[in-house]
Formats: sequence, C-alpha cells, structure tokens
Amino acid sequence: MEARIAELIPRLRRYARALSTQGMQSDDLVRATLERAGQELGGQSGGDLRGWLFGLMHAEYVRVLAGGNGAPPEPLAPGSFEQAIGDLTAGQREVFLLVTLEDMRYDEVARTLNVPIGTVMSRLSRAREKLRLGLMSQARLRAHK
Amino acid sequence: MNPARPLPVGEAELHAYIDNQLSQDRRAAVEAWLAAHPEDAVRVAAYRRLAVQWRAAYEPVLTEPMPRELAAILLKRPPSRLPRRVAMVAGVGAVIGAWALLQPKHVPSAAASEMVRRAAIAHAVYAADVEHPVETGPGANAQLLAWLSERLGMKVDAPDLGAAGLSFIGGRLLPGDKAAAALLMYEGPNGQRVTFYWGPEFKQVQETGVQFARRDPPRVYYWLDDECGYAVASSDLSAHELQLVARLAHDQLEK
Repeated sequence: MEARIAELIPRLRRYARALSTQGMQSDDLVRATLERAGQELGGQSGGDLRGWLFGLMHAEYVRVLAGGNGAPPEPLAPGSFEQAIGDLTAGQREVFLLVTLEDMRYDEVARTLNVPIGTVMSRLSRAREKLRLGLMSQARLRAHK
Repeated sequence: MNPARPLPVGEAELHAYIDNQLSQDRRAAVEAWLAAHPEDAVRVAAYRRLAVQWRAAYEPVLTEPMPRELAAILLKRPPSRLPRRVAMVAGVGAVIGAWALLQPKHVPSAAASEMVRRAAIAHAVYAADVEHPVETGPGANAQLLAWLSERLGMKVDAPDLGAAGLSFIGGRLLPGDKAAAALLMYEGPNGQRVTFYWGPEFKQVQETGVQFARRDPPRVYYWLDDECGYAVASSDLSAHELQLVARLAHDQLEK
C-alpha cells in the first residue's frame, strides 16, 4: 500500500505546486498529506487510492487556508500562472486543477472534494472563464507596453 | 440515432466535451452546436489552450528529484496493520504451525516483511524518478560504494548483474529505524529499473537463501544473512526474471 502511495507522490507534488499561492510551501502540503495518510491507512478500504489521497490533501489545504495568519499576500510576478490562478477561489482552483492536471472525472472530483457534482460544474465553468479573461487582459497589457 | 432535434447544449456539456467526458452522441451534438455558435467555439478553444498551458507548466514537477524528507515519511512509518496481523496470526496459529511443518519453505519473519515493505517503497519512490534516480553518476561509483560502506558500517558492493542485462548506475543512502540503509540502482537496455536494497538492521543469524516476497509490482525477492538484509525490487521485470537477478546477486555476495 505504501509503495502505491509512494508512486503517487510526484502527482501530489504537482497538484500541490499548482494549488499553492502566496508563499504557501507546496511540499509542506504534501508532507502533511502523507503523514495523515500514514495515520489513517488502516481505515482506508482499498478502493480509490488516488481520490483518497487527494481528498486528504483537500482537507489539509482547507485547514491551511483557514489558519491563514492574515499577512498580506506577497506580490506575484505579473503575467504568471500564479497571478492568473490567484484570482480564483480556492474551490475553483481545486476543481480546475484536478480536472486539468489529474484528468479526474467530474464525479471523482465531487467525491474527492466532498461537494455535489453541480458545484463541481459551476466552479469549473467559473474557473475557466476567469482564467481566460485574466490571461486575455494580461496579454492586452503586454501588447500596450 | 434520434431523428428528433437534439437537446440544446448547456454550459456543463461544453466542459464535458473539452474534458472527454461526454457520450458519443452528445459529442456530435456539441460539435454541431459549436459549428453554429462561433462565440462558444472560441471559448472552448481558449479553455482547451488553458489545459495545455497548465499541463505543460507543471509537467516538470513529476520528474523533479524527490525530497528526501517526503520519502522518509513513508519509510520511517511503523507498519500500520501489525496489531491486526498479529491477532490474526495468533488466531490461526495452529493452522500455520501445521502448515509450517508440511512446508520446507521459509516463512518470512516480521523483520523480513518490514524490510520488503521498505524496499518496495524505496523502489516506488526512486525508480520512477527518471532523471535523478541516483545521487552519484557512474563515473564516481567506487567513491559512492566506499561512502555507503562507511555509512552502513559494512562493505557495500554492487554485484555484477551484466548476465541479466543490467548495469549498475548508482545509488543512494536511505533512512532506517536503527541504522541507515542503501539503495543501489540498476538499469536494463530498455530503461528497465531494478533496485537493490541493503538494510543492515534486518540481519539475521541464519542465512535464508533467496525468497519470493511480493507478486504485485514492485515485485520483490530478498534474503537475509548475519550482516544485512537484501532485497531486489522491480516493476519492470517479471517475477521469473527478477528471481534470476536475485540469485545472481545472492551468489556473488554469499560465496
């Protein structure tokens, strides 16, 4: 079981890297997820290991966001992916990245994040439209420089 | 199929179309819709580009070197289901006792099971790392082996597995509970990876001979002697091929 978890670490790291904004240490998110996985391994019924791990990371992410110390966000490189995705809500970010990076089916995303599938669809739709408009205006700004 | 006009296409279906999560007939309906609604077609094309950009931007993370402390979390964790396993073994002890009498085969000890678990994790963590599987390149193998020998407190040698088509490409130091462990990496002509785990803390007075331990990838064969526990692991070789590799290594180290 641990060997199968280990094989998923690079994917957890990729997701965490894309998810983390504003100085959050993405490997800390992975570390906390793996530690939680270690504690709960006995209760894991075997089924969808990836969904379970990404679900644990979701819980950890929510915990980190809730515990935010209120420090002002660090300025991000303009025109970067981080800036574009920084305009999304945490929930929109998660849905967009699970679908895009992990190729998750919508019902898997709903289970992983523990939300109704309708919420998955509306978050995905808003996330894509915000990113599209954000990148368009970034491009326009560059063109005017 | 249906001669009636297809249902109008909603926002959710545009996304399902992009993400290949639509049924065949609805795909056709969405394509017809996009042909008739250029604004939606422009949007869909932009959403597809987003996916391509994001995947390309974060793809390199998959082959980054694995931070040692992440692998260590799994490697250091005590076996999770041990209490249950112990209870089960106690419950069916009589049956196992009878079975053991009938079987000349080796029954893996708790220590051996733990070593096999770690060897499998180490393999999964490091063999998948295509670009940085080892800490030292082939040019410095002698120094690497000397360094690992020093850290493990025993002579670490890389057996010649050329007869199995495998070349030694390097190795690394791993954390253990009581003592450090080492992982040697071998590669076949088509990029097949085999790892060779050395865990001195798993030594056992009586040499066990080569034993089969894991059928599911990564497959593992192992043996223990009075200095160290050894395990070869691979997801790329068949159990039969890996057994030959284990015998090759065993016969060179246990002569």
